[in-house]
Amino acid sequence: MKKNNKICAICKRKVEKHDNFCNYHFLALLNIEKNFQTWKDAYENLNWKEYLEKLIKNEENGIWVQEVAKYLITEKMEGSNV
Amino acid sequence: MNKTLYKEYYKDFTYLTKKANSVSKYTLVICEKADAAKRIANALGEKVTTFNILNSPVHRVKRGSEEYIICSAVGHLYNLGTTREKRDVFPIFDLTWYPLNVLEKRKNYISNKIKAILTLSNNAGKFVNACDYDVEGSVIGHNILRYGCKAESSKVFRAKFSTLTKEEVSNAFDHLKVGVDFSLVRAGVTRHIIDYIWGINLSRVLLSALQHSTNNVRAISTGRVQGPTLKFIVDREIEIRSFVTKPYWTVKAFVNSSNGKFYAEYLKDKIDTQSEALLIKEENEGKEGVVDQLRKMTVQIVPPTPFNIGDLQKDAFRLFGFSPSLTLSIAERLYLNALISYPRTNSQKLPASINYFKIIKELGRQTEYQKEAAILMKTKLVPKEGEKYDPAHPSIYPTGEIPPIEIDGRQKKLYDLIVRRFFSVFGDNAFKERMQLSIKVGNKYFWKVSGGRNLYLGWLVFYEKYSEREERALPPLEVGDKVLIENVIVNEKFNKRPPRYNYGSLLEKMEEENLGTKSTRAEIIETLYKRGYIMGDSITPTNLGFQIIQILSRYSNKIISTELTRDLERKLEDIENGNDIFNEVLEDTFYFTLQAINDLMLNIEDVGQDLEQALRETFYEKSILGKCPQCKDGNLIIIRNKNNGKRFIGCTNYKNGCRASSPLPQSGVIQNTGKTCSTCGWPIIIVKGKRRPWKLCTNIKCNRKK
Ligand SMILES: [Zn+2]
Repeated sequence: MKKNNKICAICKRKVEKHDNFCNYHFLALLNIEKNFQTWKDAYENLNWKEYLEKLIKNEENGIWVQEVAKYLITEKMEGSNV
Repeated sequence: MNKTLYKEYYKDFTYLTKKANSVSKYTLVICEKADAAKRIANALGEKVTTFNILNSPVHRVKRGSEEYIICSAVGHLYNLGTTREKRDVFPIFDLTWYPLNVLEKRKNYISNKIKAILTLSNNAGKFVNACDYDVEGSVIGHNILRYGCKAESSKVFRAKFSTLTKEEVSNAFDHLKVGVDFSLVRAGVTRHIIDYIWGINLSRVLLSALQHSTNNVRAISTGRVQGPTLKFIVDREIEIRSFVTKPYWTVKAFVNSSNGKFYAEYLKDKIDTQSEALLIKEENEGKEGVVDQLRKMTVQIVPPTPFNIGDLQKDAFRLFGFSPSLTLSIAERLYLNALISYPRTNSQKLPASINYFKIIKELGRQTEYQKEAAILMKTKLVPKEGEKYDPAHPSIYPTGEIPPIEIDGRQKKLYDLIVRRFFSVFGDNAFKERMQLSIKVGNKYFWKVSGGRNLYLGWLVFYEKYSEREERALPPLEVGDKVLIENVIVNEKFNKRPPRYNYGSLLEKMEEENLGTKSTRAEIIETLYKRGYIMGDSITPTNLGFQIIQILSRYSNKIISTELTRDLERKLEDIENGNDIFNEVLEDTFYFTLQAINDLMLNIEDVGQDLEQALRETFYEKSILGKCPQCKDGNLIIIRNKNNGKRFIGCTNYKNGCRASSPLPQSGVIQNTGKTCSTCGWPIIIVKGKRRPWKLCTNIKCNRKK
């Protein structure tokens, strides 16, 4: 079996389908992306960062979703150098 | 050899000694449990003598000219085992039935049981298997007769009964079935063999994979039904953890009419956008509306079907919070007290042969059922029945015997539920009036209102306290009435994530997927808890449970395939119904086992590494007690002091400066409750030691303790 030594940026599990995330956190990322349009329509003019913040605050969202949302927010801020 | 054994153990037992030298033979009756043996003895004759052999009570009774000796097992006395004791040897297909004491040291008392039965069989002319009439009972009795008594099959008989009342037991002994009940025995034995082979081989492969990568080895296992059941729980957890909710809005109005006030709901249940919800509020609040349509209808509610074990377990969980295994064990006690019929049944049928009238009349002797019995005794008794059928037993029903004073509170609750359900199935349909109306505001907006009232209680007379229902009363309204929309309430809501399984819903899922049997399902769930694969009442897989499923699905999907398991359950049922496919089913099992072993062995190193990591994570997960209330960032975990070995609680955020810590009790097992102290916010734990378990707040400085 082919060995891949990269680990998930959040939980340190092995990375398989995605570059940064394990399959579980990757699944959460896909769900986050899939639902963005619905949230944008519901609140009008909701941007990506506001969306992620709402996801983190809401207890109905799964733990992996919240972890990925937190990761995306901090990564953006460090990367963009604002 | 038998004679020496006999002399050695029973010198003091004069009756048998005399018997050993005489020619007259007795009939030896084998029961599953001691309580059942006593009941059966009392049902067979008036004068019962009881004596002890090696601490086992034995009953003797005369029935006509025949003499009966009634003895009992304690469930299974034999189980499958292998001669290959080394734990890393596989595949294993050679197995034999062994006395339980040979397989498990702590079951030493079994050896005396077997010796006692063996001695009693020396002078038996006939043998009766009077264990519970189902697959397991047949196997229990059959193994005792075959390996314990070494009885010739021509001398073997089977007693068939569903209740332990005098009448039914006596009738069963009048009509004993000749020979072994082979289809039940075969179905049971096949299940035991398959489960054993599947379980021992796969567990051994996992264990040896683990040994490949670590010396620190612990018990690890999977089983035929265990794997797919754990997969349901893990799949649900993945859904929950990756769930993204969606917002929606609901709109409700408080309405004022000249006859009274009430609530109305907006015609659309869910509104997708915030702006639309706010617009509805703006355009309706303070406006006048008109009652537009009014519909009154009478609905019929049919009585429930009689209880089978699954339905009883579901209702007992809903009403009393009893776990299915608790319900089963309480029901078994009620059965052994002859208060209800045999509870391990799938049937929703109630045959007339049980004599409805007689049972209802006898129940009426209890003051709490007097009124109900009197109502039913005046009507024609036709039960409402369900679809499900069980060849061995009817549904669960009360026998009519009066409960002894000493039955405990939980038994009383379950008994009352069973009695009331029994009454209900003979009741009339209930009738209710439901009212629905709509209110129009302008030409654009519609509101809906609903409510209702009881017209005729019917079967609900008997079951009202146990039925689920809620009706809202409405003021009298007519079409054209003018009303005022006083207030409009907008609520922002979010889609709920899927629920975790609880005991009841998991049981239901297993039943729906045809996994396991009515008598094994509860036990399988218990095993998942014991192995540390799942935790909590709202069932969550542990890291270990998660990893086991991930590993199995990655390397050998067959092990957790629901389809395979379901197919097998169907075939076992076929065998039970007399279809002779015993060998074919076993061959299939051997083949699948070899395939699964092969799949895992091809990846043994990866499997081992993954398992090791899972065990390490689980160990860590278990030591986490909760979020740290001081830094609100780290976790409070159980730590052992490297110097003196003493345990204490500390924060994982120690490196970043959090100094939250507190000593812990040094003896006893610490269990996390998942709850926090209402005074200081630290985790609450339960300590289980030699004394009674006690609950405490982990914070030594907690104000409540002062
Ligand atoms: Zn991850």
